[in-house]
Amino acid sequence: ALDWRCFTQLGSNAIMKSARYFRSFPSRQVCRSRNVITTSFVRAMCQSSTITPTEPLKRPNVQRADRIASFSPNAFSHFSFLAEEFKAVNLAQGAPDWDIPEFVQRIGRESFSSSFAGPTIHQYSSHIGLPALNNVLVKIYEKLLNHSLDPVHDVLITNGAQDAIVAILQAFLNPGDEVVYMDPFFAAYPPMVTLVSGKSVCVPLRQSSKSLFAQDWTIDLKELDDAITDRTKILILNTPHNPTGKVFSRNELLAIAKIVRRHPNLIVLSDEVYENLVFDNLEHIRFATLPDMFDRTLTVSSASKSFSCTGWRIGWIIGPKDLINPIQLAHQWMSFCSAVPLQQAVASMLEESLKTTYFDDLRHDFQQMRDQLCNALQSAGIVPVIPSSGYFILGDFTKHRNKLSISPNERADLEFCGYLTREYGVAAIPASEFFSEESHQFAERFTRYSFCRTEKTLNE
Amino acid sequence: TAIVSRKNQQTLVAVRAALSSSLCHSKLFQGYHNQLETKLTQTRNRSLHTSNKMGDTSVMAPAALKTKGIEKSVWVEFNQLALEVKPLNLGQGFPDFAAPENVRRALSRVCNDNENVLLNQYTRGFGHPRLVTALGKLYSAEMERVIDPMQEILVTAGAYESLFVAMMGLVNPGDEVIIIEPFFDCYDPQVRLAGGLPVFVPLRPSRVGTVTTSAEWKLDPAELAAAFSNKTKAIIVNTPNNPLGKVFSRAELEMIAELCKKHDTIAIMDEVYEWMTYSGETHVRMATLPGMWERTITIGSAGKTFSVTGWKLGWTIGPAQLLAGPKVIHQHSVYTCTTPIQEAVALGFEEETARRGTPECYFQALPAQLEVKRDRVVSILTEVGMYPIVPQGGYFILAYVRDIMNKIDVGGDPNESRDFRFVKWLSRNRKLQGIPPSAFYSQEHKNIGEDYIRLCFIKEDVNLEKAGEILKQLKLDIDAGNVK
Repeated sequence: ALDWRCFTQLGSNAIMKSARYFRSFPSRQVCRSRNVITTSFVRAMCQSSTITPTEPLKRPNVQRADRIASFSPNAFSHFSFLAEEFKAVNLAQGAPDWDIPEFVQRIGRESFSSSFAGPTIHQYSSHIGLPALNNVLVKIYEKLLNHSLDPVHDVLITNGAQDAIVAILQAFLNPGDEVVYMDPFFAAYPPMVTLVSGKSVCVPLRQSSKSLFAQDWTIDLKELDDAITDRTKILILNTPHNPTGKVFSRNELLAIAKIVRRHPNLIVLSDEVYENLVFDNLEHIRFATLPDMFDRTLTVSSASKSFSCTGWRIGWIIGPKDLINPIQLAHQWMSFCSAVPLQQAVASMLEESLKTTYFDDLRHDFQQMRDQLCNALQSAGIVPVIPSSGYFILGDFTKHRNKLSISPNERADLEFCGYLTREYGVAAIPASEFFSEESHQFAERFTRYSFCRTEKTLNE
Repeated sequence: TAIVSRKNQQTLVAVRAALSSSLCHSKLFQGYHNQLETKLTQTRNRSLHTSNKMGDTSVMAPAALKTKGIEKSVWVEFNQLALEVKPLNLGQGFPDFAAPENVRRALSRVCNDNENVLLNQYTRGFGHPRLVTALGKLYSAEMERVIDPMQEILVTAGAYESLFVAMMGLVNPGDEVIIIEPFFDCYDPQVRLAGGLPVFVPLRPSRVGTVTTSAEWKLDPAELAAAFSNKTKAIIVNTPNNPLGKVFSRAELEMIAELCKKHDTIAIMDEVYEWMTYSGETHVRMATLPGMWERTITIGSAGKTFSVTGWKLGWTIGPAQLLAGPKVIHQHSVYTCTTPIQEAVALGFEEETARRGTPECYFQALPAQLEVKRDRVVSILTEVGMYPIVPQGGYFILAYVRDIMNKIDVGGDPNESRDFRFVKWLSRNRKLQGIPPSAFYSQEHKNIGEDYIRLCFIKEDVNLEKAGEILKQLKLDIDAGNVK
């Protein structure tokens, strides 16, 4: 179960037998990679005289825990390998291919150095978070959420937004509790819910007309209303939305809030990691700012997308004390705290970004990248769902479908991804990875492309 | 404020003004510190336990049932006390001196690395290739077997997460997990979060009331054997042990191994203090015992290895089929660990592995340094009438303090363990903080730990001497009948 964001450092050594692999998918075989690192490593180690061969042993009768028994490998890992094999332009990976901003580098150098920050920068912080970071988050989010916040009670620092989400699920879900979210979704939601023995209930987000724009994808409010019952513990809202790039409008969120109001014990998890990547002069609306919503909303975000440092793994949850406290308590047993030098760096970066036009420039640059890739897709006969935010574009390849040979059991989007990589050297992700099983017929006309790429890459 | 839309320019200006006086992060820390102090002063009369109890009717969304009963963490409780009282802190286990230069330098350099911009982006979820390769090389030599870095190593956000994903990935509701006491306090709640049932087996001292060694604390073979059943999924063994400092001998591990093989049990080995063994001691790895590789998970920590507890990086080593479950849990929770940290730790390992066996190697230099500190603390404690248990490994020391506790009216909540009350008294009244060892025992065996205090000695010599002064004064005051 290698994950899809495996990358270049594995080099061309980790190669999938791609053509044969794609024919057999989704037969759920775990594919073996011919890993040359291991082979040469083994050879080297065997030359040492201290290595004694291990005797064959009776294997323990071990099964993985029931809660993950149903998990199987997804398609993600193979596309990075495939991109490697064909030296394709990698638009699959959901991370930028450029360096972290100059000021982030400088702050990183300083924050990671105890000569600047003192020796305690390398030791445990409080499980709630490093005070410097909690403090600056409070200063920022008090304005953004228009609500007073306490750095000890209303904030929790986590190892990235994904850790935040799973901590929330761990803190509140009992086996069988339901979690409602929209379909398509960030690919991690379903397995995380399953992990805590919860049940996912999806509400489709769909193109409502022949519009080219992600903004015109909508949900049916009645469907949402029906989906939320007294078994529903958490509603996950993701705005700006991954993978469509839709930015939910105030009216749309108010309509959702109206439904939420009828369920006073419902918790809303608002995943807002792309909060700073909103284009077209649209406004990012924070669910916690809507009337009566602060007390029931957990706002999740992270440094990754805002500062192009997806590898730093610093995220946060902001919310009312009554909701944050159980999460702090659950998370203290999961990993206790997050990497302290990184917390310090993020605190400094957040402060510094307030004094510059960094986020304005970022939005401007991203908008240009989005435009460039949309144009490229269009000219190639792939119809983009034009996003107003985030990193990704869904592209409809229906015009090219006749070029593929797809047998009944196979997914067209998977085939197209393979085809695009092999024949044209561009790697993407099949969109059905982000849709529920029921939606696959709709989903498999799309593949997902990342546009957070340098100009050089986008030109290629 | 740049995050706020253009419409809110006025807010932007206002916030900038507010922030302009808070440029230096250390000022912010001080500000926060003061803020926290004030809050704590205001709440002094309330319990210092982690805030709201579960199931408060005011909480509209009650916490998950499995989180009930595990709200209290001794670290949270005593860190709050330390913030309030500002004692000399020999409590939580982290060094108060600088981490080794090579890893610190490596971390700073990551931000400078224009060649490899990807060092700040997502890396391989199960472990950064450079790091798992370095770990594979080191542990292949240590365990005398070929370890496949891609299949048999999982990198986690600290040994904490290694333990957590091991439980969640392998333990089903109703499975029993044997925990040897005293245990690092997260084992119990983590087993319960996974729906498992902890079964406790204590190490018992052969004598008290005198200076002893951690080697004298042993498992009763019959008691251990009786703890295994057909429901036992795993046993957790921490060697070197925190808080005792015991280094399990080969014979002791073999006894546990026989039972594991007999009952088809997984051995979860928490070996974070693997490099911290003192003269005459050898750290024995369960995974190297006959028949045990296939059923052993070995957990290590960069925080302990390189004295960088705040880096939160650990690893799990074991056969691929045992790692499968933990890997899935990891993938769908933390998902991937911090890339710059992994790169820096990889560099650290490459350097140390290259000079393995020389006195400059940090894995040798650190325990050599710590042994001197250990011996100093042992003599201090002996002088003041506390009976230390001389640890064979690790950087904690337990001292038997019953005689002293009996001579002081420590006050506090009578429902709380004796050692909790004594540690709080010592912190408030003498400004010296330790950790109460009964936190590392199950409810039924708390009495074993109640007569001790745990002190951490990975601290600057000047601070250890200060602790000595405080304790000497305490002894003088007790002898003079002068203690309040």
